[in-house]
Amino acid sequence: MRRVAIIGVGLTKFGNLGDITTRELFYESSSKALKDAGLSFNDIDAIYFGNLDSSRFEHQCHTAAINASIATNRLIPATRVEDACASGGVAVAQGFLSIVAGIHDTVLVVGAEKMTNLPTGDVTDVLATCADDILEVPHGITFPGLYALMARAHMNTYGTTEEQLAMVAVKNHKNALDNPYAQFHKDITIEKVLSSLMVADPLKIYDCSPISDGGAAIVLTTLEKAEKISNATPVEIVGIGQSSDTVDLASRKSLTSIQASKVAAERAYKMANIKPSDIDVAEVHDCFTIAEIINTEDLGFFNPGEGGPAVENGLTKRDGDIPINPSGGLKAKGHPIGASGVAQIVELTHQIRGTAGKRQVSGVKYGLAHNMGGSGATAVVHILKEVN
Amino acid sequence: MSQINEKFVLLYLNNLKEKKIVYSECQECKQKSIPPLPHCPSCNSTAIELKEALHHGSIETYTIINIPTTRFEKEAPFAVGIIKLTEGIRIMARIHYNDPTELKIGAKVIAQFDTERKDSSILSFKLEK
Repeated sequence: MRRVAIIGVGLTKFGNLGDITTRELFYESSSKALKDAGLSFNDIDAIYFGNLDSSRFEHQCHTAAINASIATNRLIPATRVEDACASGGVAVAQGFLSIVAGIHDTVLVVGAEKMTNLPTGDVTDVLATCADDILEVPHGITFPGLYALMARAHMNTYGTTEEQLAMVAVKNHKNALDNPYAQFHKDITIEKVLSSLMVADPLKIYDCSPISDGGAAIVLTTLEKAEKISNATPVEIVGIGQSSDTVDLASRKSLTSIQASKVAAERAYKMANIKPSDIDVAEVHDCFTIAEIINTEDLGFFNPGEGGPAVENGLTKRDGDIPINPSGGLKAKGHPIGASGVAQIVELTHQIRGTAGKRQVSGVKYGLAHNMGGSGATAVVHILKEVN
Repeated sequence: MSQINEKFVLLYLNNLKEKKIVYSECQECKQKSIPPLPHCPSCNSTAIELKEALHHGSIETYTIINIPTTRFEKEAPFAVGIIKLTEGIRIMARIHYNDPTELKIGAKVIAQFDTERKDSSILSFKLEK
């Protein structure tokens, strides 16, 4: 099987970026990634673009083609990937697969979303399309509501506390202070989280990731070619795993564990031939604080029910046993939906290269990116490794 | 031979209008599905039976929505939960309450149908006294 390496990464700032369009977010992030790789748009064989819903945010569908022709006139294949909040991660997987299959050599994977131009109520409506429109939306459920249902069940089964949820937000905000691209540079306290506005009981405003604009890009090529065409330090993708599950939460096997995350992780660990304990740092989908806790259990870092105590005991801090979300996560870095999965890969690439600055975790050999869609109906896991 | 044809969403929603919660049950492995499906997603069998659930269940989990989508703006706050029906199958629905302390995991609920509702689900649950 051909081996795949990341040779360039780039990000825009995440946040409310004002008058900017998705195609400009594509352009800025991919230009930076190509510059990092020492390549140009002329070197790219194909583009994979992760984006949730430009058709609603900007009345613009068909975005992969819009982006590709800004990049080059060579009529390269361009594909938009949509799997709810996992759009970016699945776009990375598609790029990876196209190289492994021998169809393309050098691929640009970009994720971007422009969300802040619509009123919050309208954004919430767009996000609700990632829930089940027949079985869930007609009852008035929201995204925070779906995760609140899981939080309540997890708290009831394992004794997870609202304070432990708050600690996830506090940790991620602290991490984001050292991330120049993050939406929030704001140290917060547990008290601030606990006293913030209730969105869907027990989740409060500070338990929820924000509405954001942003773009992230990576350049992938074969490991063999990497050393020939680029001076950048290559990072290898040694395992991927993807899974789906019912969109509607009520039909899932469990309300306290996300099976799709578990299975995607198992597939990735198997391909990489490693165990959860081999992972040195992870970027985990924390759309809500409870999601980080549940996913760290499903990814095999902690036993079921121990995710909450793990945060409380500092195990997931940057200097802890298994640093989770050194970038600040979706919570504090921001969550421009299509960009998030790609941005996780950008962070891990820096961590493995040793170029993460103040966010640097020491001794990183293996990194894991976990990107999830909806309330757990899609999950994609990538395992990255340093190249010797 | 499956008792359910391709128009399974319509089948489910039309039955709600008749105050019935219908589901499919695989006669081979007993997997149950809402909405009813023409084949079994567990064992692939087409030996599928259409069944009607009793209107009773208990709360598996719940939340109180404080910030709703635009569509439900005028109704917040309201509770949404996942109910486990007597037959073992789970379903999401609104739960009516007078006081939030009435909402508890394990509390017994009974289905009600507001067949006049056009803008949201006909089905909801109320707490059984």
